[in-house]
Amino acid sequence: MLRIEKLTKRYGEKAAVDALSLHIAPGEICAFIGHNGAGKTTTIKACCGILNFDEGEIYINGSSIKSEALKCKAQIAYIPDNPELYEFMSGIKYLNFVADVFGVGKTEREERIAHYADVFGLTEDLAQPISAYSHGMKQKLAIISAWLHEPKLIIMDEPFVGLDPVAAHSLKTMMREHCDNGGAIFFSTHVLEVAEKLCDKVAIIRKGSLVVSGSMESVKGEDGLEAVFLELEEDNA
Amino acid sequence: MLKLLLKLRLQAWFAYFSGSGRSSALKNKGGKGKAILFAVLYIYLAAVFIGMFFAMFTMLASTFYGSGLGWFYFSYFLTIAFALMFIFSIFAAKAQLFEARDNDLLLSMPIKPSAILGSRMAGLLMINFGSELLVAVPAAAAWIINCPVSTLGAVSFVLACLALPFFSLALSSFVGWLLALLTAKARKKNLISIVFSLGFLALYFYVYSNVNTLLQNLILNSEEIAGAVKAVLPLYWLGKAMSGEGVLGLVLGLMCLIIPFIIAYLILSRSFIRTATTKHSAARRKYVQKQARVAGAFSALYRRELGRFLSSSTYMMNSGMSAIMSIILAAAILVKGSDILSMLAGSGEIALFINPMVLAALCALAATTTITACAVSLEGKNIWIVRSMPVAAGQVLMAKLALHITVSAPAMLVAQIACIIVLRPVGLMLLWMLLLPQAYNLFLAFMGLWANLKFPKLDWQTETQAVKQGLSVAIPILGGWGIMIVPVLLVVVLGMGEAVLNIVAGVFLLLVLLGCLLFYRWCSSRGAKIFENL
Repeated sequence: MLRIEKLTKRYGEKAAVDALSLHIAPGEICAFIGHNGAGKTTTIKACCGILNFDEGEIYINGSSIKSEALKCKAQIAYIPDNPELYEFMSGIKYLNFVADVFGVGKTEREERIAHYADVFGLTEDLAQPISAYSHGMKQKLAIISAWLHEPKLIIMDEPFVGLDPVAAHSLKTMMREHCDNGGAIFFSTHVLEVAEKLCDKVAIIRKGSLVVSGSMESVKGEDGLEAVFLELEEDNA
Repeated sequence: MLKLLLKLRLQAWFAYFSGSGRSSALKNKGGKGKAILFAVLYIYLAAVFIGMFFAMFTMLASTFYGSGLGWFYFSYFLTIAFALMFIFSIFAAKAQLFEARDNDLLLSMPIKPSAILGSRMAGLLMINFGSELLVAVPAAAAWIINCPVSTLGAVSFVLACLALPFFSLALSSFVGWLLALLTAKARKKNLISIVFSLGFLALYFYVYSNVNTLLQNLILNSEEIAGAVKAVLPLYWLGKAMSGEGVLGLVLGLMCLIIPFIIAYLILSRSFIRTATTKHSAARRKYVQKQARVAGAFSALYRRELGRFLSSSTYMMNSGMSAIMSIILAAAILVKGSDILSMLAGSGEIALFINPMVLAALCALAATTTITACAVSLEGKNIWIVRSMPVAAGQVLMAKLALHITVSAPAMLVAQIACIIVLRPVGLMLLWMLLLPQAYNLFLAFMGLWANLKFPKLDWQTETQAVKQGLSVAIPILGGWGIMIVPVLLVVVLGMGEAVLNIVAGVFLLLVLLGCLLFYRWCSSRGAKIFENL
């Protein structure tokens, strides 16, 4: 579903991401872990086609994000670390805007909006302007908009930040369901417990380079993900 | 601490007025040249204001001095200076004192609320002093040239000039507080801002179009008006002192200017935490599920642009001003046009200029629409949304262009029809009057888009920075006017014959259309690439 091949992105002389390769198959949830400034957001943005990169290639379902950007974007949903949404729109207008751009039909969009807004307890607030939303509400709206067009691949940057425990639980359930239905998810997180319990795969990045990646079981071993992560950090310090 | 906050405020104001708050990637690109350009622009604007006020005060100085109403001259100066300061600072007072985004951050630090407030008020005082100088310099110069100056008068003038901004700030703080209260609770915040802006605009047009009559009335009825002004004692006391009489009046007058400020400062500093941290919210609207209306991607993008435009009074009033001006122009032409025409009919050659000059004026009017010139910048932090969607950058840009045209073209058409009804152009002139303003409008819409892609400002803190400032907004306005000068000069140089007019207009139309085509191709290729990399 997502194939990253030797991705390199430089800011001036410094390589933010250095020859990073990763593969996520349909049905997999992959956690992307690393310290602040490790290159997670840069990688994620490159995968979504909103950040150009210097070397390497990224394929979404076999299509290159460089040469077939629109085809790739039609299959992706992206949620950034800070959901800056259109404050001049109401929640429902924003969802309809996203649905229009992704070509979601009338019945499907009505059903999905009703369902997901109910899951996150946002139904009553959909008429409110987004400017009146809290951070958590904006995050919920961004999540609903991501699921609205049933993308094959969902890419999220710190999706659990700002969510209340109920909403975080709902998101985890939705993520599992999405992958059980053949989709794939690639997301960054600092919450290692969530990654450990939820993900099939994990990739750990440090200073722009992939330190380790593989199935969750093989990476965490018997010590647990936190112990492995801390050990890797110390080894590479 | 106050010194540090003041420094911070000054840096913010500098960035605000120089348009230097741009994305870091573009920060160093042409920084010096841009700063010089802004400096030249501000100097030019200041010179225009000072020149205008100097002409007015020169007319009044000798007249008032001659009729023994020297004090009234200064009272009048104080009133004008106060009005200017008040208008310039009222919205800034609302934003800085009651709606500043960094209030929470600063209040969480070990800083006294009075210091935060003091630094904000100092910034506003600077705006006031700057505005006052535009009136004070020409008023003083006109008086010095035409009338004798006493030591008491000069000292009083300086002291009053120093004190007046404090009084203006006290009042603008109060009205700013009222405005903030009114807009915070209202659902249609935008409407309130628009009503206020249109009110100011109407007042401006009234004063501007009647300035000669108002001045004549002021001179003719100066004794009666002065008699009425005498009732406003502080104005009278200060006016007297500034004309060289009455030290006591000076002291009392200064007290009247300073005491309201002290009261306002004390009240505001006591209630600052409460005011700054009160969460204002409009009544909650509950969502009721309705049938969704499905639209295509371009339609969705266009409605997004329209939604952004209609939701912001700053955007509407600044970038869509020409639509309002076109309607006003149409009404003015329909009402007053015939009178002006009959007046000009006896003026020989001037009558020949009417049609081409109106044509040029319509084109120049199109330059005041700057929707596309800031539409890219207005994406701001939300730019990730369209960038992550399966829509071509060219389509996003064309939606911005479509908004520009749908706002400006109908209003322009109304003005064109009014001009055609009154001027009754025939033959090719009718064709030019129908085609040229609309084509030029389209050309300037493209030019705005080009300018904004070349000089984007995505990291703005307030919409005003994106809408009003930066080269991208100045380019289509000044460029639009500058380009219009070329055919006008050609017609003047080559003669006013019908053939010359038609050739110049025809060639200009062709060039404008060619320009549109080139801009379109640029926006679809290089412009789209730039947008994708922002």
